[in-house]
Amino acid sequence: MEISWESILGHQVNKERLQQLLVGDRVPHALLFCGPEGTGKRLTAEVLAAALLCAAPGQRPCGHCPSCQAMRSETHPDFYRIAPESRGKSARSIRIEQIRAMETETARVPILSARRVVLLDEADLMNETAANSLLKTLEEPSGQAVFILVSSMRSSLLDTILSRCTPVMFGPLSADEVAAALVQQGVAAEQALVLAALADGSAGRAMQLAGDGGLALRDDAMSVLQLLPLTDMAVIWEQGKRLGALGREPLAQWLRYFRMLLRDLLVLYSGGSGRLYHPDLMTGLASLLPHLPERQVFVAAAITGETEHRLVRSNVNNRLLMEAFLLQLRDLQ
Amino acid sequence: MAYVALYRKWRPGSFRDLVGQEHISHTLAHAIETGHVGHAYLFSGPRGTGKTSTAKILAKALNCEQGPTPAPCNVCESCRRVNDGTSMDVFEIDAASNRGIDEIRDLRETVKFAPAAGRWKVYIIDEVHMLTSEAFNALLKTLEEPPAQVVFILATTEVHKVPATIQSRCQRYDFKRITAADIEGRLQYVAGESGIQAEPDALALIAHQADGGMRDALSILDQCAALSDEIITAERVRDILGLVGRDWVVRLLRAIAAQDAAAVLTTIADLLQAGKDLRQLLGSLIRELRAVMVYQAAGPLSGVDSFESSQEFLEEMAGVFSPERFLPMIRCLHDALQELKWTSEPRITVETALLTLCRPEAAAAPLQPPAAAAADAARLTQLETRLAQVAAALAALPKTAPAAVPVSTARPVLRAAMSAEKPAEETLPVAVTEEGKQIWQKLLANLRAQPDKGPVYACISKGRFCGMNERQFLIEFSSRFLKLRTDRDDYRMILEGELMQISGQPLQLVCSLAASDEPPAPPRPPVKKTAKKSPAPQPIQVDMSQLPPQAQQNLEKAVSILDGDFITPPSDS
Amino acid sequence: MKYGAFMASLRQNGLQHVYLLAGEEPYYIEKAEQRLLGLLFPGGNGLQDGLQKLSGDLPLNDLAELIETMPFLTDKNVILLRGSSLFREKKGAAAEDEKDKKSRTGRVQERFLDLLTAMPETSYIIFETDGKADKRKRLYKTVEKAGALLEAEPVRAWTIDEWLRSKLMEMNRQLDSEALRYFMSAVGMMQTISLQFLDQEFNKLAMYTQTRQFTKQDLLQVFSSIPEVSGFAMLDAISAHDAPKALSLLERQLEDGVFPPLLLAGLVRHVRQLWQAKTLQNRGVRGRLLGGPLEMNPYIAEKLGRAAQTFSEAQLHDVFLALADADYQLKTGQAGPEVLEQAVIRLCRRE
Repeated sequence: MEISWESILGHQVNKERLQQLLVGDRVPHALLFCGPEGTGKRLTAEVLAAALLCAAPGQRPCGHCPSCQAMRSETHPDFYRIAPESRGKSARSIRIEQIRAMETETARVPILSARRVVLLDEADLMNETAANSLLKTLEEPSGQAVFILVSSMRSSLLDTILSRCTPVMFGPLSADEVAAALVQQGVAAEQALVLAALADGSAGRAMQLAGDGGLALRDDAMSVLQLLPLTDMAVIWEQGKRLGALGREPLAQWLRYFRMLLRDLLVLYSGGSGRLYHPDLMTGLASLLPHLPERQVFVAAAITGETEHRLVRSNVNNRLLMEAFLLQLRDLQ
Repeated sequence: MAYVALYRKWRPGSFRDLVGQEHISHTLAHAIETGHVGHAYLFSGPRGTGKTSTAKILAKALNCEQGPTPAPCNVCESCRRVNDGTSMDVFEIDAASNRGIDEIRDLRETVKFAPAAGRWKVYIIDEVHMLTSEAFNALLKTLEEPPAQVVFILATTEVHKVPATIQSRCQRYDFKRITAADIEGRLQYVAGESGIQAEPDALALIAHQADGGMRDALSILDQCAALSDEIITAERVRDILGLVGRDWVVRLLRAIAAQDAAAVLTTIADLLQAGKDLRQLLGSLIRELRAVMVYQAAGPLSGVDSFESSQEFLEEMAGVFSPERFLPMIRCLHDALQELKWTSEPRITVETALLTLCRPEAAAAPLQPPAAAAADAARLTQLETRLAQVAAALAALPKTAPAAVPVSTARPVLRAAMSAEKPAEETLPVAVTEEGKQIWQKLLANLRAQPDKGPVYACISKGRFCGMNERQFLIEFSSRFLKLRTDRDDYRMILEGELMQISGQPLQLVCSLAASDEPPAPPRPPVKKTAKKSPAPQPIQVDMSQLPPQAQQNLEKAVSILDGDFITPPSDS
Repeated sequence: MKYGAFMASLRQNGLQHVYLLAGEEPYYIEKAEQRLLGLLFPGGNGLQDGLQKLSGDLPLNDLAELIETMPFLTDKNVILLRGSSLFREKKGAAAEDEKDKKSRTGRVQERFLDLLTAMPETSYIIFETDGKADKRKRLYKTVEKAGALLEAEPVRAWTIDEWLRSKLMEMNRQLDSEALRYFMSAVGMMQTISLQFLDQEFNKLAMYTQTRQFTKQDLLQVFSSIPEVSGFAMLDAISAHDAPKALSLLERQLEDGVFPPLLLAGLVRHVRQLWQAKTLQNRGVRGRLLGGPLEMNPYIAEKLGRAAQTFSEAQLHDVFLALADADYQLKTGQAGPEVLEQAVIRLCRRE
């Protein structure tokens, strides 16, 4: 685990604020790091945790005391991490048992450091009972514990959780910062710039794009969009089968791209100065406009949203889902 | 960490400290004085209004060594134990974590025993609505026959989830939301006592933000104090909470009212860049629209502080939106709000929703059969024409040009190109074919048939068709004015739209002046940016000046039509 | 017997050995039970040993055995059976009773009925059941003959006086005339009147103020928490098509944290009643006569009738359907208070 402030990209203000709190020993006992995915929230939380656990007199985390070494090797006994687990077929979530186990642990006296730190990753995936059972602990922790909740979907958290945590907002990274991160990872500068534009301020997403041919998926979405208006049922069966076999995660990503492309069409329709996600595809997108009236794009966007929702939120039959998706697009005509 | 959160430190210690719930503290204090203490109380009300605090005060009041007294001393052994949660006679149960029947059965076992040290045993069951129905049934049995010297205090934010059978066994107290003014007063007091410096505006903002809950208010104050330097300012509060200031909301609503999609998109981008919370944005928009709707129907309301907009703004907006638009608009925002709970692309969700608001006709159409959109047909046709033109312009790019539009460098170069005198069309080989003549005749006939196109017809009928090729359609004018007028975007759009319809292909209109020589092609911009770029494998950055003039022209037009403001190129690093 | 008659007969005729306390108003059942136990065990003496509380369904044989048991350590053997389904309505219950006579279960029941008519001197049984009892059942008829029955009927707005009078007497307080009028119209707004609830509220009121006479102001303090009552003024404003007032009152309730579906329920009820009043008026039912069919206090019904004339049927129709949608949307999180605001706005228009 990287545990230095320097390893965090961007977010200068947040870093300064947190360090300021550390120096004054005024770190609130419940923090919520929120903002878009892939902007460095978890990393910042880990560094802060290391700093809270480090006992060095000066700059914390010092990086070499026993606590910091334990953090680096992820074996710190006073650092507790909770992340969503998937059980059987059900969707990933943080359950009440996990919260209870943590509460038992944190009520004890810390072993290596002066306090304990609990990092709740993807806190929005706590189910309702888990979230409710956490309330009391957040309000009046029984031991010396600091809670850092990390979430890219602040909206899904209970109001009662939100009101008990000090929020730290992580805005999107600038394209420069994202590109810089990519270059650091060995991506060619030119490609880094294109990917940074697509990633919309998320270094995580940019890395993903750079890593596993994310662009291919996007281009695939574009190619299906270019098939519109769909008339040939054979194409629908064929594409439905192909997309249905992509696997859940890639398919969700594919649908997101599809939606982003539709959004770009709407931006073109708006005739305004919108920023395109896919400036590199503008020609292709613009040539679609004559075939796709604006209201169809609106409906298509709604259909895509609903399809993604079903895919992400339930255990649907992917192939059937995608066939129905394409059929609905056909029926737009 | 010895730091104790403000809301714990300043939890009210006696009925007197309880802000905003005078009717309750008065009644309870009297009940204690006269010894009419009930066996079961149900405290309901929004979060942070003092339910748990009141329960604890009641527990202390009953068992205080100086009591029973409505003013517990807070210093005796019994009071202190209640305060630190170590009392043997006061039990705080969090129903959210102990929801099941087993927990309630355990409770029933212990209820029987007499108090250990005090006079009363007090059971405080927080978030009681979270109990399972079996647990409720078990609890009901106890409430039906309460042992002597036991008081149950059930607290809940959602009283409608508490079974009626339980409710009817309890004396119910409804805790009201605390008014912003009361909260502000308390904040001032706490800040003063804790040595926190804050601008009055900042406290007012916190009070408003706390939405009637004292605990929230104190939490926010705490958070702001921790993250502020010397003095807490309103700006700082907004910043820390990621609050979407009213000016943003006003800006967005004005843009929506003006159906200015471009401004909407820009505003969203700015908001995101500033790290603002989109959910809050939607919430504020909904609230604002409700305020406008209510204002439109009833004028300014007295004694209501949910709406904070200025009357001028409400007046302005009430004049823009028709009454039947509000519900669909709010509905659309609500849907987006729901979607924010799961979507991984919140930005797209919000953009789509707000674009929908900007385009009520287009966005409402899908709900009805296409025929219903007929009223809007004219507008749509116009739009489609315009878009066809964009497409045509882009399609006209020479095949040799890279598929990707060189957005990164396009802009500065385009600007440079535009600043130069507008270059004339490069005339490709053209021919006056029979097909061309037919198109020309059809074009004139079509325009004449449309009364609203009268002026266009008037202009173009003075012109002369002088040839076409697969991309262009040439018309020659003898009058300079007529040529220039026809060349303007508005007429061009109509004409090229018509041409598209008639010929089935995108044709670019080229107007020329009879018996005048074409001016020479513009000089190339002196920029030689590409020289230092390594030859990229992907067609990412292309210097506009490398394109043939025709392509430049087309692209320029596309950009001017789109009023392009593409992604700003990252500065060269 | 109604509650009043039941209590009076208890005073006059003394204790019986068999009781059935049934009906939809648990408050009366509870009061009657308290009184009975008070008479059976004066000062609570012997209650510990002499009272057997049971609930749910028990085989009749076991019950019979309990009744026949001789008291131990006390002089009475009292059985209190709550929530039994013995008296609950069942289709064709009477016919079945007849048919059952011959079967084994029938013989058991016969024996049990005989036992009820000839109870041991020291034994008493009190049946309690929530909801109406089935009068056609033989068990019911037997209890009627051998003992006494309480029919705890739910209280209506126009039958509340009796309860109110006795409650005030018990507390040794009074309502001034303004407060009384307010109380009556507030109760008129309630969809169901829970005496247990009102009882608690009056106890609170007695704690809140020490004066002998309650004023309207006192009532407001206590009753304002009842959603139907705080909505009352808003509905009045709607009847008067006073949009600013109606909307202000709506917003204030929302600010007070009233659960929106409750506000919606109030609106729905009002629109329904307006529409019903309109329908009745079209059939020639007017003025106070509306009270009967609308099941309302005649005075309030007359007022409602006057208001109904200012709404068009089309307007009520539209708002009613909109409210039905709003109900669904509110409860599924698809809408917020704006649907209520919209409904109020549309109702306040004069069409």
